[in-house]
Amino acid sequence: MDDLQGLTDIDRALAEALDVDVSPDFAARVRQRIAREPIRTPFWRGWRIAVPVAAAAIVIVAAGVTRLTPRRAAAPHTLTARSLAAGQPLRVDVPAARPIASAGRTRVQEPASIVPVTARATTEPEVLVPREEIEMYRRLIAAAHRAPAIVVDLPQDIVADGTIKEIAIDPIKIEPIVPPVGGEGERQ
Amino acid sequence: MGEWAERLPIVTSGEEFEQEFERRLSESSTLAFRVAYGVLRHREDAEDVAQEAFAKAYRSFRSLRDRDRFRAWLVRMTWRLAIDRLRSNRRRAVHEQAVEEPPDPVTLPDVEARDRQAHLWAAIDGLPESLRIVTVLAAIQGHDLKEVSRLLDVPEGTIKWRLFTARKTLQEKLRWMTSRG
Repeated sequence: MDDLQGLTDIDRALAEALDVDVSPDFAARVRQRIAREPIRTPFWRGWRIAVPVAAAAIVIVAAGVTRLTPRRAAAPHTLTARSLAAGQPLRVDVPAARPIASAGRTRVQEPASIVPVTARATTEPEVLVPREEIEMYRRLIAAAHRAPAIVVDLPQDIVADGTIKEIAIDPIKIEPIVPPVGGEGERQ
Repeated sequence: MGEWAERLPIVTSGEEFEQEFERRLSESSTLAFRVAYGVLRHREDAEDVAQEAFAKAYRSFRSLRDRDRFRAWLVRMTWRLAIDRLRSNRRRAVHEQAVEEPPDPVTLPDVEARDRQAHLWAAIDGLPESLRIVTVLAAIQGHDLKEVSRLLDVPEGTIKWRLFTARKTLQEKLRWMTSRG
């Protein structure tokens, strides 16, 4: 019973402590406050504007860049890059040896599938070279190694006489230019 | 019929919108103020917090047209704002090394009553927050368990248990006060 009375006392004391009323101009102050505070738009409404504007800006920039960039006729090369270590042999795929025909003689080249290539220094920067160009250089290097010296046979007439004939050159005639007699402005 | 009308989604013009908000403001201003006062125990601060809560409610009023929903939202928002204000005041007081403000003269008629209230609030402040808000809401405007449950959006059984625990704790802390009468 005492407990119940104690609870009632506490409740009553608390109710009395909270029995306070707002000031009469409370509503008016709330209205003033609402009028004073700026209306903030929710962030998703901001996005409604920002996203289309950003998209439009991207399209304009992309169009400008496309217009300013010079057009290329060919398709872009695929670039490959690799660094060469010093003394590392460069593997070159060379087709099978084929005979080289020369006047009266036929020589057969030895196949050279592995060509030693020495890089100047490992510290050299990587260079991007188109794949087609690399292949071309490989073939060129392989061909150079395959035929270090090309022997060309002499023409048959030289071979027959054993001497080179003298070449006769006609003397050059120089004729003076005569000025026109009738003065200037003569029609042709 | 009236309650049904309150719950229906209403498409209204700007003027009707304002009138509806005015109605909510007039019927819930005391509730918001007392909730804030229950935390802050300072009239001006409590009014300021309640005004802030109403200003926020106005901005979200299109989704708070339902009366029960509005009151529940308002109570929770006011409580949260009041707690924030209390912490801010305490920080400022510590920073400025200010003396605590004198008790509100309106609610404290004499020395003995002032003393009792000071102890009562000290005991309530010692409660965990979940028990404190239930205790304050139950003491405001004679709210019953159902109303407190609706305002806090917590099951009635939970509210009952919290209120019981809070009262028991208060009774133990304030035994001297209740035995003295």
